[in-house]
Amino acid sequence: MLLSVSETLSDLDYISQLLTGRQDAFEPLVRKYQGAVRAFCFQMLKDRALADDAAQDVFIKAYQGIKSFRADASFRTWLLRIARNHCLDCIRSTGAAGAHVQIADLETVGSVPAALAVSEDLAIPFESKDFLAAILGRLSPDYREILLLREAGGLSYEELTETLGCTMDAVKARLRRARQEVFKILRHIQQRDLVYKDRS
Amino acid sequence: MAHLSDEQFAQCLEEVRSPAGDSGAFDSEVMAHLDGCAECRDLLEGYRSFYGQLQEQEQTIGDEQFVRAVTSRLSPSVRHSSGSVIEWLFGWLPQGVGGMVAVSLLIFQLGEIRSLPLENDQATLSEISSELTGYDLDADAISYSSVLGIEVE
Repeated sequence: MLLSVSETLSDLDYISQLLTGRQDAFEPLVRKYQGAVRAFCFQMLKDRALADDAAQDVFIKAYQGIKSFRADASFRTWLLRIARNHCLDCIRSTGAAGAHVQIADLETVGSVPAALAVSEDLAIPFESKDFLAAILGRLSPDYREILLLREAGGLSYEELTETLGCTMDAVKARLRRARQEVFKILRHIQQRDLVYKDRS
Repeated sequence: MAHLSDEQFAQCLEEVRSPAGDSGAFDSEVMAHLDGCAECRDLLEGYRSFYGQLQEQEQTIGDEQFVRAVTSRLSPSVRHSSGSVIEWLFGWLPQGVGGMVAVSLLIFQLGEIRSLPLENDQATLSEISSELTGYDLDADAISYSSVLGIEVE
């Protein structure tokens, strides 16, 4: 009789079992990482149903390609790489990712981007549930992607260079610009907050 | 009043990302500035909130329905080993019975069609055709023969 897969095993234990034919060892990995993958897909695609479908596809791809997993990165990092590539494919094929401010708008130096200046929905407190969506929704896919991989996914700079296929300098520069954009949006929220406080 | 530079903010963000919040990235100059500058303090607080919500979102997403949806798309053996026998039976039994009924009907139909000419070896083409299809070939002999290009007697 087969013993059931224990919940206390490490990712590598599950993967080893999977490679020896214990296909049920994949289920705990799905359970453990569904939050990370689904959150990442949702923030990239901005559509809950599309994101869940994409997240399922990511796990299927991971299952099918488990033999190519190398333990030089964590399983979580490997999954997020697959998720990143899959989401980019989805964005290319379906035009998903919702409305976002164009990079050209975001790179308006020293001023609030026009797309933000006319929006009324930024008068939201930092602790609001909508705060995260308000910020991520205004970032270009490039900036959103690197912030999600770094801040939510926890990828190191080295892992980011491999995942994004660019140099360390490029990764640092893109991350710096992405954070600057977040600060730009935060400043705008601050300004709107002040305006609303003055009015009330 | 000058605000924190990009580099100083980058240092602060590393502090934000540090689990214990004590990475030592804040130098005394930055600390002094943050004490006196509400705007920079608010910005940093905003980023801390952004980072916290990113982390929190991941923790709140998760349900068994998703896990089942993924495993059901894998090979049947995964479902077999992870689910109960009853669940497996209810999954496959109706499909198996349905398939067997469909195959039986097909065999029965084929057998009936093959046996027709043998039983009615004296029957004409129009009688066999009428029996099989309900189509009266004689009544439409002209149009039928013109389409097929044959003579029907």
